[in-house]
Amino acid sequence: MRLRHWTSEGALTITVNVRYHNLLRRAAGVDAQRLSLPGGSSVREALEALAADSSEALRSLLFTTGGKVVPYLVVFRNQKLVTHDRFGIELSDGDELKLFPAVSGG
Amino acid sequence: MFPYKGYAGRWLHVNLTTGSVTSHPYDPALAEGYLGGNGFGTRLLWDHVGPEVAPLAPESLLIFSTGPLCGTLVPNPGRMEVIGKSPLTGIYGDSNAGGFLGPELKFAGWDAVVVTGRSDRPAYLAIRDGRVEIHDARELWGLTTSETEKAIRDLWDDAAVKTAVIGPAAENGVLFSGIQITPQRSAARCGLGTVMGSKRLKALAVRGHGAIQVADPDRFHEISADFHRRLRANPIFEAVSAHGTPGIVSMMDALGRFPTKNFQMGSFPQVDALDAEALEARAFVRHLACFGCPVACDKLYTLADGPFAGTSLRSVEYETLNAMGAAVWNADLDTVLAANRLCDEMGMDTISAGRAISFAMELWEQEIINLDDTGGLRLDWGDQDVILTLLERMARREDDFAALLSQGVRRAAEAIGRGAEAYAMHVKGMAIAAQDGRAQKSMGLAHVTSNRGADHLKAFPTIDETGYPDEAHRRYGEAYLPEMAQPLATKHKPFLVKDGEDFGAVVDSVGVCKSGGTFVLAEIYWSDIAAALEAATGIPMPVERLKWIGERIYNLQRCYNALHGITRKDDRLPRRFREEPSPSGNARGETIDTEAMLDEYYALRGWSQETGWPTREKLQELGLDDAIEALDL
Repeated sequence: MRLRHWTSEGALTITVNVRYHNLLRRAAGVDAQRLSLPGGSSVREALEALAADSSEALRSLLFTTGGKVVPYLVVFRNQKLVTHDRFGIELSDGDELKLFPAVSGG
Repeated sequence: MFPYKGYAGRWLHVNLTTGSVTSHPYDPALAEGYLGGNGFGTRLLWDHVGPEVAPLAPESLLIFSTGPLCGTLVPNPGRMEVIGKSPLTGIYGDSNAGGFLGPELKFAGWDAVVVTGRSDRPAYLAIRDGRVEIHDARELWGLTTSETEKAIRDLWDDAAVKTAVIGPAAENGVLFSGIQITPQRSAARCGLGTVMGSKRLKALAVRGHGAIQVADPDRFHEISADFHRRLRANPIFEAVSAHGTPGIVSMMDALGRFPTKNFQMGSFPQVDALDAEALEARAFVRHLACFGCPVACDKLYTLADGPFAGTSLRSVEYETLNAMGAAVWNADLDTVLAANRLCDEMGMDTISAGRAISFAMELWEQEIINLDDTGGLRLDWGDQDVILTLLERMARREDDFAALLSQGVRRAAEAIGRGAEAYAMHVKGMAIAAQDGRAQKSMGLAHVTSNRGADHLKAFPTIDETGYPDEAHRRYGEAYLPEMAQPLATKHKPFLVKDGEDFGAVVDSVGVCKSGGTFVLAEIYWSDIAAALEAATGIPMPVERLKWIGERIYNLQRCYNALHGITRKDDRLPRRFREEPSPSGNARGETIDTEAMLDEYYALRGWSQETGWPTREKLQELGLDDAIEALDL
């Protein structure tokens, strides 16, 4: 059963699982973490919450000094690639976000 | 006298049948029209190895070729090409490796070594600057690649000798044998090690003490320094340098682009056991770099304990983590490293070898083959002992089944029949590497248009692997966005593939690395290479001229394949990609049909829609009149 926490205003709190990869994992110091967010939070707001509570090293991999999401940040939500123009999409309780720095190769 | 700098100005012809070694001046027209490296080899192959010459015949050429930027101050300048007719595919073949041999060959005063004939006994070629000799290699024959390298270092009493060596797999006729280039970099694909073995040539050994002259030293230094600064400042430099190609494992898995169980799936449930972080934690020792490379994507790994304790190796790449891991349903990293090491020692392409095993495992699963076929070996998915046993047996062609697999999945499928062809994942006989066209549509097209059979590195469409929108905008402009940066989009991808192929032909011809600034970091592009070339060589090189040369090289390779019977019908992905929706990751539900993209690609190329051959008009434009005549256009 999923727990739903009601605040006095009736909003929901959601829990999102965040997995870090490559340099992001090094900067975060952990493989993954759980993030509690207000209901209706977007991908961008999840990233802002992560940045607010993290080291400078991780913050710099998420946001530029001008407050924009770093262009080379790659985000998957529940195994689907989320492009930067869709960072406003609303997250659901139990969503998994995977964060990578863009790399390629072969 | 050769009029240009950057080159050594001469190349070697070695005839192993007669024992003759001759020096040839580099033809300025070849430099002007084909650059060197891949272009030089393509032209020679066209001129001297027609359809009547079998890949393993003495008359077949084996070409080791460097480019004018190899060994210079630009970043990533350590690459060299090996070119020949592939015994695996029967068509154009090339392979490329980093390391230190290419620069050493140029320091020795040679741009290329072209080998013909067949020695009556095992031999190796010794190049000490201007002194070139063919030596008896009977004592080396049968040795692994690292044993051979050590033996030559001991013979020469010189730890700095650079080598290209084959292992027992090539000696035994495994059709996907490669050539190990100092230091254990692999010119692995297309079976060019097999060509080397057919000539009874065990090794090249080179020591060079000369220098490379450039035409405009001040300008060239300025350009090189700029390239170095830009690479280091590139947003993804640090991520690429941190882990090398293993760094893309988990992202490709999320994309649904990490082939699993012979491409049944695109994601591996236990990918965390094979990713960059797992590899680093388990075995990382230190970073390594090829000649002149600031990225240092290579790493030294050593297993300190476990059943393969003491296994030490470098160049554990994304492809091998897939081929010996997810593709065969194996989550044991130690086994992957042991398999990698075994392939290196025997001199086998890890991609083709791994694909042979995953193909066989699926046939077993489908009950198309049984214990009688496999010689008593149960080919259960993920069986680590079976993986290593089959590799060893294939390398030695120890039994009928292993010998069959050692000929590649296409030949094996044809011989087995019973529906096996449906599970042979290849294009034109070359096993498909760790990409999935269902997850990245440009890559699906790249696989079918590559001139050496299925290959990601000819076009190497990195822009849309996960989207480099800034670089897509910089290179192509707003008109190509957003689709150019979207992996599941087909729009604009024919242009992305064509541009990549032409640029890639130039990169492979000048001698710099695709895993560095040109493709993976997507930092260095046409105008950069043109400027560097002109400053290095003194050859006037407007960007449009360079694009013309890249297109010319690629078209000549296509003409070569056309002479060998390749047409549009061969530019086709296996049924699985076309008919089985991917169940994985971002690619869930996707199939790929390349026909519409191929139509557009052929139109962009100026090729016939019906045959897929370059048209007469296109070949006239590219100054390939002899191809017009040969193809009777």
